[in-house]
Amino acid sequence: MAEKAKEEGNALVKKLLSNNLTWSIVAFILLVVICTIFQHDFLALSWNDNTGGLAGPLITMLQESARYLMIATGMTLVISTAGIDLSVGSVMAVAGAAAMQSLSNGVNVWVSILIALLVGLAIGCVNGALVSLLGLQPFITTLIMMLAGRGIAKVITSGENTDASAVAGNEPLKWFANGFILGIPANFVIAVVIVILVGLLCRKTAMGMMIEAVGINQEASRMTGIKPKKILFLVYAVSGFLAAIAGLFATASVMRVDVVKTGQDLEMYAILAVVIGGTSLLGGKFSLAGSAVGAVIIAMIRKTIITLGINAEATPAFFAVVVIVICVMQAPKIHNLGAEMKRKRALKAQAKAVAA
Amino acid sequence: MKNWKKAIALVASAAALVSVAACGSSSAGGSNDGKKTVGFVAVGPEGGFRTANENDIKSAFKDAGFDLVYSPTQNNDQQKQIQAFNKFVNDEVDAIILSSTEDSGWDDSLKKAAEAEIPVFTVDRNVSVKDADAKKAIVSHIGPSNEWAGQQAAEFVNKNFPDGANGFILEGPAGLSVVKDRGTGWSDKVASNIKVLESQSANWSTDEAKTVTAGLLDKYKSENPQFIFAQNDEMGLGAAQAVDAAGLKGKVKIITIDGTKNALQALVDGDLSYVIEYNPIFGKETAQAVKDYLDGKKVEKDIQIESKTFDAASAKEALDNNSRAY
Repeated sequence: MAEKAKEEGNALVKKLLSNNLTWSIVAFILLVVICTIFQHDFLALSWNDNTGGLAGPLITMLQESARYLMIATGMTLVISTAGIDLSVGSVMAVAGAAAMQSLSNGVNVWVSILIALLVGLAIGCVNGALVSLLGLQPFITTLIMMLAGRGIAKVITSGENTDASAVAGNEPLKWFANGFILGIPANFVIAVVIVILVGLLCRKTAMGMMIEAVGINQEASRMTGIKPKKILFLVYAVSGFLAAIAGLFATASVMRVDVVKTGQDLEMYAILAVVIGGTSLLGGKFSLAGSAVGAVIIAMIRKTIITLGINAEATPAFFAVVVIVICVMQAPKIHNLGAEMKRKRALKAQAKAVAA
Repeated sequence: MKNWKKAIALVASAAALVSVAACGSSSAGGSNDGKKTVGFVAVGPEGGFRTANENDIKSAFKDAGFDLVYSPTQNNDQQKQIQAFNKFVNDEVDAIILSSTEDSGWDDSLKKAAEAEIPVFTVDRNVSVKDADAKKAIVSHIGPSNEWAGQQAAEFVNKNFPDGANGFILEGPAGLSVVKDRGTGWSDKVASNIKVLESQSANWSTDEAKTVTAGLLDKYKSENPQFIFAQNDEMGLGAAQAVDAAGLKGKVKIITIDGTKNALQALVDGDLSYVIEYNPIFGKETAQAVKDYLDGKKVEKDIQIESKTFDAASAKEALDNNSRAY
């Protein structure tokens, strides 16, 4: 009986060890530990009366992670259909530009938010239409949108970095990025709620399975009665919409859009978060929880860079090294290393025995 | 049905190609009616400063009777600038104005310009050239001094904290001559009792500066940071929001360089403490220098454009006069 329990325990440990999510969380904890070593009060939280919420390094990290959560969620869905959405960073800039420009032109703040979300949705729909109806390569389609998006953002603001921080009545938008709900950053709460909603939609209905089926084999999924074109269109549209929310988070944080810098390189961060989360770039399998943890890890790496005071010249290299270490930690080959060595040793012993 | 879709795709891609080609060949070369042609290798839309600077240069050259061909790059891509530069050399324009995104990597192109005897005027950002032949191509550098701006920031801090203080520097992206020069100017003049706890890059971005500043304020809470020197306005505005959120508004003095309208407004509102202008309006001087050189007159190697410094009072005055173009 005791042996059986032990066996079950071993199986559980094995299952945990081979799970990507476990290793992502281990990596996250490692980063926190490193930061705490360098800055002893890293985990300290205090109440800030000025903002009406908790304050501390972890809180600013969560605040920053909201935008990564949004684009990583959209990217997960797209990637699991064996596609890719390189336009999310630019969509962020376009949505942010739309919100800031309409705000400073005197449009009501809620209408401005709506405009920004619709603009993101529209770009996502264009991506979706090109990929699903015309069958263009997702990489090329979204690459074009990535280049065009910056142009569109510049056209919207006529090349300026529009500042809406002084516009009266901008509080709701400001609150989205800087506010607090029960002491926790509002944007993080909103992002988590959206991730959970998308997760429920995917896993409590057949939607998730249909997306995965399309990612494995479009033709086969069509024959089983799924409409792959509709699914493809949908995932790009959702990705565009979520990117628009991310764009609102990024620009509302300072109430200012920077047409060149807003969302710059974030499509790469989103892909990294998805990969860290254990979603295969070949499609057919996805984990929203994994991507969410991946997104928080991306924010944590950026926080680590600030906390350790890494030189500006060395930050990209540091970022790359951390991501590679996390990926290596997750590689099944590494997990099987112990078993592999045991097997080799056994083989050698056997060969020796035979020779003797 | 399938063919029909293919046809649409074909037409769409052909249209895209044509439009790209049209962008590439827009109105370069061809010095008709005796007008001198000047090529302007520019940065393109980047922010208020850049727009003001490039519009001023464009209009000044037009007023001076030149035919200016404007060729901006995108997202600070130096490769596109080099292509535009080489194209101007091939088109044998009369002079080239270069507003470079990066300070190195220009040797080959400048050598070609020197061989073709095309004078090159660098504006705003200087370039560092190793090759002696390439150096010959550069007639003059025109622009405000970045080192001077850095020195002003240091002197403001020296004056305000005679007993010493701790603080941070927010830098631009690594490797730019602007960043180096503003940093050098700062360290030339800063007093020994002023301690920079940390210099971090915030990539000229407001949003990133806010994140970085919030992190630094957390990290050095016990060291009582009293100043932040942001190497441009955009970062300073981000830093101000982080300082405000931490409840330290007024206790941390923020110094920025550039002097955009937004920064001056923030100065009046008390979010910033000192703004050093980096004057973008020098189109007239540039056009004059090019004209003098082409007329065979001697041109100074380094033409420095004067800039101002602002505190809350003078910022209010400047805003009330509505004299800011950017």
